[in-house]
Amino acid sequence: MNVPKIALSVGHIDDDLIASATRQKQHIKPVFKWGLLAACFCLCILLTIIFMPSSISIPIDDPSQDGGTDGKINVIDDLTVIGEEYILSDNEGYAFLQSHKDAIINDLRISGVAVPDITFTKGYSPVRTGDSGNSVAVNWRTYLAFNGEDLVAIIEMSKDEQGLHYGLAFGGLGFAYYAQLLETYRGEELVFLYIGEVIAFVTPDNEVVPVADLDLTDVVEPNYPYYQYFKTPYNTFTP
Amino acid sequence: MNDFHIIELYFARDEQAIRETETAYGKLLFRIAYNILQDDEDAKEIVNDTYIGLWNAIPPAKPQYFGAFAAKIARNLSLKKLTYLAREKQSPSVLLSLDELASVLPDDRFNTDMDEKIVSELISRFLRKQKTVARDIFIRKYYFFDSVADIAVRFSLSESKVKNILFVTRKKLKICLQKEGIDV
Repeated sequence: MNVPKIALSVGHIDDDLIASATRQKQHIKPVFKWGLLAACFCLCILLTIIFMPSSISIPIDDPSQDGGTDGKINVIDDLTVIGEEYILSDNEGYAFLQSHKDAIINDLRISGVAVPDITFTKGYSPVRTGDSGNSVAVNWRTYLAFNGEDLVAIIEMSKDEQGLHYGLAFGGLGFAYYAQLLETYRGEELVFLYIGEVIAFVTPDNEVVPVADLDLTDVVEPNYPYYQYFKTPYNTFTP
Repeated sequence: MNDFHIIELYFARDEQAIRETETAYGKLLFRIAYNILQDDEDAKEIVNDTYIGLWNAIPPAKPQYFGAFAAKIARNLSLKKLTYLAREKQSPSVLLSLDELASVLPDDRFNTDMDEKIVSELISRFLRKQKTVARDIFIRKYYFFDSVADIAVRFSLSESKVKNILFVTRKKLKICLQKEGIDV
């Protein structure tokens, strides 16, 4: 058989296009992209909670609640470490990103985000919570890429037997939210709540902001953490 | 080890370069070859030939995207071998992909005055104008010869959605090549 000439021509397309399609693991829907990012921030909260008593009492301000004004929240006091055979240190991840900076800038340019230069922040390993338990994946790290003071991408890095891999997250409804919040609260700490399927920011002025226009009232179930009952959720969840 | 250091090993003519390439890209290269040839032994042979090809090419080549460079060699070698395989050994999925590409631009309509490199550049330019998902799906199908089912899983899409994206992208490419005078 003869291979069509066009098939041979496809074989000589630009290398960066091939590289991009190689790296592209999975197009994650925006809610789940943010789930990974949210988990990173939850690490800060969880590490503090781990060293607290296994349950704490928080006054619930909803007078319609039966049982009075005291309530309890479940606290994660057991965190499994996974991915130890391919630990990704921050130095290693950062060095990799530095050496691939041109490729990342090119990837962004191809996708319509043109920036002359980017800098990377410290990376954090994500904490995952689920039915099979709570874990921190030490072979994953999430980095933020900035152009000056503007956030341009969130970079998820992982390490396995084949080496280091990365994927870029940018654009989309949730990203615009995140960038806007960072700008509004520049210099202040945001609390990122990951509550099963629902993800929200809690700002220093106690605004609870859903990501990507999710309506948080749709997911009020009896066993969800009752963040909306706290008068000052920011103070409640800040380490 | 990152690509930069692997290339340094090639330049130093250190055979560790091959081992590092295998560690970093062995699975990818095998997958490309297997997708096209659908045979373990043939695919392994292609992967080994790819390592030889890389050793001979670097230096003087200093690819910016080492993985893509290696993938290119594996793909070309695999397609070459495919032409020698008996029909019954050729993968229906690969044959379908080649037929689909041929429908975009049959060989008898390929402007012989046009250099293959020029056509590649046009296809690259066309792909850059597409949405990332469509572009990556096109490349996974017609460069890597992934099956529609594998692509659907990779991109969390239904198979019918993948087929639709491919159909639309092929149609657009056809129009683009006609406008550029490649299709005569």
